[in-house]
Amino acid sequence: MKKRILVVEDNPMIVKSLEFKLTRDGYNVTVAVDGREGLRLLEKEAFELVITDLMLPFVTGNELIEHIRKNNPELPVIVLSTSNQEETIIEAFEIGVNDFITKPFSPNELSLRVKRTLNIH
Amino acid sequence: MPQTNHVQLLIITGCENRAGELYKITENSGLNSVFCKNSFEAIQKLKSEQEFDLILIDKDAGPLKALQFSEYLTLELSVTTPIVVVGGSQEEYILSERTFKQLNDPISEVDLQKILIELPIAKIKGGRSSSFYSLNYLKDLSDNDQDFIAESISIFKTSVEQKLIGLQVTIAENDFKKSREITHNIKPSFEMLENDECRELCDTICYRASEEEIPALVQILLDKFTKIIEELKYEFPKLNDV
Repeated sequence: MKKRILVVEDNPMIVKSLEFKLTRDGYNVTVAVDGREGLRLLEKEAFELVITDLMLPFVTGNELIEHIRKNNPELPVIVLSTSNQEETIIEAFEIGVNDFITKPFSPNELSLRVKRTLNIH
Repeated sequence: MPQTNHVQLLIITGCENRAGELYKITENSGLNSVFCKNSFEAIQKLKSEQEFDLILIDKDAGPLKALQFSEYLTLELSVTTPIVVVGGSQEEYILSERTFKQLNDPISEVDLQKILIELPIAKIKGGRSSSFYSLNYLKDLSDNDQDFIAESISIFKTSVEQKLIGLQVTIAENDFKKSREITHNIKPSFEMLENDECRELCDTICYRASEEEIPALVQILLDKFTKIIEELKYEFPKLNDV
């Protein structure tokens, strides 16, 4: 059975690319375009991995991660960041993310990091 | 992925404060710069066959002043690199059939960006920068899937266009925090089309520009986006229907 990944990202080009690449890699991908929709999907569906942006409308990425850590601490989270966001990435690691990928991502790096994170967890 | 905009500057100034100002501005803009303390030292650099895209010369540089330096470059070295005079307040003047732009006091990153954008494209090095976009990233990502590429281009047009409309609203409302958030959001879209100039503009607006500088930079970004779409329409005629 395909592993389910929730992508929470509000840049449509990044969403399209993630969906394309992860689907090709054999995953079942669900997309939320803001943090509020991400929370809603997390409450009603089960996922093996969350890939989330940090600067999201309505509910920020950090709030989303805090929610996951409180309610589903075993669920791995990979953060999507842009360059120049070092401090934000450090904050995200402090609240328990498992890895980060810089946007726009390298296709091979995405595949490897997703596979590695899912294998560890 | 693109890292710098690859523009090589030759900066001539004997003034330490001026050199410091220019160092800070060019570093922030991700430009490659070589500093010379006088125009003779600069001539030696140019004779050594090192190529530059733009020369910035302090209005007080010596021993050859800007005019003499320009004439020497043209007549003796056959170098046609554009020259910008740094300092003073004159807007623009023509010497020896060569247009000099002026980087006025107080010099700023925004003014330098404006000058760089006006440079002839052929003078900008780095391959990708000679065009408004590249599909290499999308091709690599999708193993050259044409449907994916066309759809991504369509998404680029509609999504960035919409965000830029929102960006103009933030300018009208002086909501510069929101302006910075929007440029943060669209930066990866420009990066996916490997447009270094727009990536750099987004970075400047997002992290370095003062509130007073943001409206002018946003206007430059809008103009660059329009040019990208114009170019894309040649390769993707269906964009005219989007």
